[in-house]
Amino acid sequence: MTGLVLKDFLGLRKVLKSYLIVLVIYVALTVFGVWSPAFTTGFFAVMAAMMPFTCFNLDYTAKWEPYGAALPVSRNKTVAARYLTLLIMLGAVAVLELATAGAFWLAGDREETLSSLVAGCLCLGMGAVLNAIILPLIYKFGAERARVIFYAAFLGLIGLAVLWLAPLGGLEWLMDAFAWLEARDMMGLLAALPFLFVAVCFLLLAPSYFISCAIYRRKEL
Amino acid sequence: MTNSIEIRGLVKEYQDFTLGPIDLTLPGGAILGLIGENGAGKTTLMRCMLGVTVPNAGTVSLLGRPREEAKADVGVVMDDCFFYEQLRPKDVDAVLRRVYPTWDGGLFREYLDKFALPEKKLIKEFSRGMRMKLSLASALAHRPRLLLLDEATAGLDPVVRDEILDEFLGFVSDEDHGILISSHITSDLEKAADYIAYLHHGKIALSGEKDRLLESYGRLACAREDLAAIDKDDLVAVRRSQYATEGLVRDREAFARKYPGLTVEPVSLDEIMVFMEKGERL
Repeated sequence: MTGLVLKDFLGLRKVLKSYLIVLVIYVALTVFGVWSPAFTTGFFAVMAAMMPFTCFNLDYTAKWEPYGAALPVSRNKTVAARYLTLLIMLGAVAVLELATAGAFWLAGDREETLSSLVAGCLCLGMGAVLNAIILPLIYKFGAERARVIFYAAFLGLIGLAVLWLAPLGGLEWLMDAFAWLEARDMMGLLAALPFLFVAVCFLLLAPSYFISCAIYRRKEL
Repeated sequence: MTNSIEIRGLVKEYQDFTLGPIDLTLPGGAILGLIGENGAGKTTLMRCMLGVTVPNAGTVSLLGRPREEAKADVGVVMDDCFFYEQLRPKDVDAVLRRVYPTWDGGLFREYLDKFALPEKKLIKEFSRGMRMKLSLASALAHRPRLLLLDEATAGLDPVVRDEILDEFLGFVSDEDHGILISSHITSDLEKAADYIAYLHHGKIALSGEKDRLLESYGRLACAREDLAAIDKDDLVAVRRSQYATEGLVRDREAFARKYPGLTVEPVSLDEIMVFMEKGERL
């Protein structure tokens, strides 16, 4: 299985190198105050979340799947390798986010620390959720068709969310909830919320993995 | 001695095509050439053997074990190189050493040297011949006991094909080893294979020891009126044109004894395939 994860990273080597250059530029722009740290970490969280698409496209272009199925690696482990690649990517972004937040913490900027942490957690969590949905779709329909289905579903969900949130007064209820917690001196819980959100999102990857395995086990390659 | 391949009652059904039922055995220390026209089911059979496609019925046993258990001892070369183009041979080494428990990096590098493949060159810069050699090096470097090769020599020039065939002959000199080669290039199989299986419209139309098949089958060239005097059971198929009538004979010695006035010549695998595909069955 580690061989397959390594294959993914070697395939992504060029893309990752270019992201490293972008990272240096973005960090510089953030340090000089051009961009907010939340934007930088959010950008990389999105990029990391999109990586599995790139991996599947690499497999498709190289026609890797039939060869991969002939290797002494079970199909479940093949799926596990792809999920592991994603977790490593998201983990790297989490480290970047913590480093950013830590830098602001050391600089004594509590507000930026909090905002970069919250933004980072939101993006990481969303990245995990998106992949929890998209990976089984990719195993079922292939990367290209899954992408179309996913965007359609994503837009549909946003539409539904807007429709539901409008009667609730947008996200004001959320701000009210935060204010309620703050008033009762429950800042600890408030601070833990972003991390809880990330944990819940990452937990969704577990059922997603089992669904992907069930699909891939029966797939004709 | 364990058979390298044992296939029993294998069936794979698609909407417009059915492969099988296939029964096939390859003894150890031998090369089996799988031939057949395009769409005859060679690749489907190969995929069923590799577990890439799940058959509807039948069993596949490789090296005396169920397919899944034997995969680590099977080397695979398909009709293309399946590694990402942005990888280098040294990356392939790094990946496959973590996949195959018996991977031998030293042997892999020996093959790279033998095939003149630069270790640090990107695969996308390789010619087709180089890619196929890389696939072969990868298939051999984990010291497999069985090689499954699907059109592995297709599109290669005769010199490269000859090199690769030599490698196969060396591999199979160990009687514990076996090779199944699916190929359109029957001349390669005439050179290397011990057994031939001819797949026609999803079924094994002909199989056996290659030398015996080539000794036994023959091509009859005769006048149209001579055909009327020949027992239908003595001919497998007939091809008629404006200028000639030809027939495929199953047992040319017996035929010559029965029809001493007619000439039967040796036949190639290519000719057998053409008769089977295009000939008229009597």
